[in-house]
Amino acid sequence: MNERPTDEEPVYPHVRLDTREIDGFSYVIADIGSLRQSGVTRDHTRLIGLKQRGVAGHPLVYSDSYSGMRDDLYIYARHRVSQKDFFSRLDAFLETTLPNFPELTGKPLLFSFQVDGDFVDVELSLPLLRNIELPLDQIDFARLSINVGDIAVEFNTTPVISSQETAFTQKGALRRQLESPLFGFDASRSDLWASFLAQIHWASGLISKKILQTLIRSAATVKT
Amino acid sequence: MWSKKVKAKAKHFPGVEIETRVIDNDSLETVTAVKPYGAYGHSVEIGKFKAVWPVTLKIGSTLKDTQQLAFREAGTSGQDAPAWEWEANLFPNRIAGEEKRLLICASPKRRKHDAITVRIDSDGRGEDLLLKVPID
Repeated sequence: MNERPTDEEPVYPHVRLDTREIDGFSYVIADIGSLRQSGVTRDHTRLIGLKQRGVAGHPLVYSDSYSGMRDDLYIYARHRVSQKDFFSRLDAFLETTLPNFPELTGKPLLFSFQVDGDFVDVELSLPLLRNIELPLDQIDFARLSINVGDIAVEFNTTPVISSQETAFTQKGALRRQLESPLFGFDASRSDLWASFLAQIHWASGLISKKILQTLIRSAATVKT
Repeated sequence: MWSKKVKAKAKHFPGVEIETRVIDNDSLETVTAVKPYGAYGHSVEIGKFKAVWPVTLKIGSTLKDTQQLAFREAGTSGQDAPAWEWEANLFPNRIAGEEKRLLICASPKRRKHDAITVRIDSDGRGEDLLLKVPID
């Protein structure tokens, strides 16, 4: 990926910026406001690291809110895990979380897996690692439909990393291109998945889990 | 004799199901070949979109020339074209959609088959789908 702003790279113009700090960790909130595109109104916000080595200039969390018939809010960020690691961590997370939701206990989990472009819908019980019949390394994408908030995850062999986002914000713009592979969740009703995203987040080895969780949760509410 | 339908599916866009076809304009069924003097449809369909982040796809269909097959925008009497392109903006839980062009097969038959290359690009990813179109 070209790291510096060029005239050709698609950007969102007129970005509003707000610098903030959590326990000494500084970041900027970049907000493009409402964007009307293909009949859809979306507000996009991005949290970008400012000073810390390895994090400065990198997008930390993306958030989109959609207005319309239903007001949806989605949080997403690049992750650093393989398919096997992802489903192993998801097993552990669901095993501790689901007992708090009696309506979900013992119910099959509805997954949609994508392999070679095709989607396969399956109902699975825990542990997922034992019950997924597809070869894990062939899964390119997965979505879990669950009433506490859907999640979606993609897997790439080559990550797309953006390390110069502040070079764009300094020019009053925000680059359109997203990092990948991404993990995201529906935060319209709950931020339950924030702690899970903090575990698999690309910067989880660079920022404390507490700060990451706070950043992810704040992405659901921030407005500059 | 069994003949292969003229269709192809993208494999490298996580969360998106993309299929391209050559179809009969009346039945909308995928064809196995086209005939000179015939008018068909060339479609690119985003069947499912399951990501929770937005995805923009730039999609372009190209023929090497218009001597046998050519694209024409439906409802127009515009000039036959060797290429057309469009952009699909995909958002979570929204219906994705389909774009179509008329595919005109000229007479007389000049080739045994023609080929449509469908190029799809999105943030850091790209894929070419090849539709090999037999001419009866």
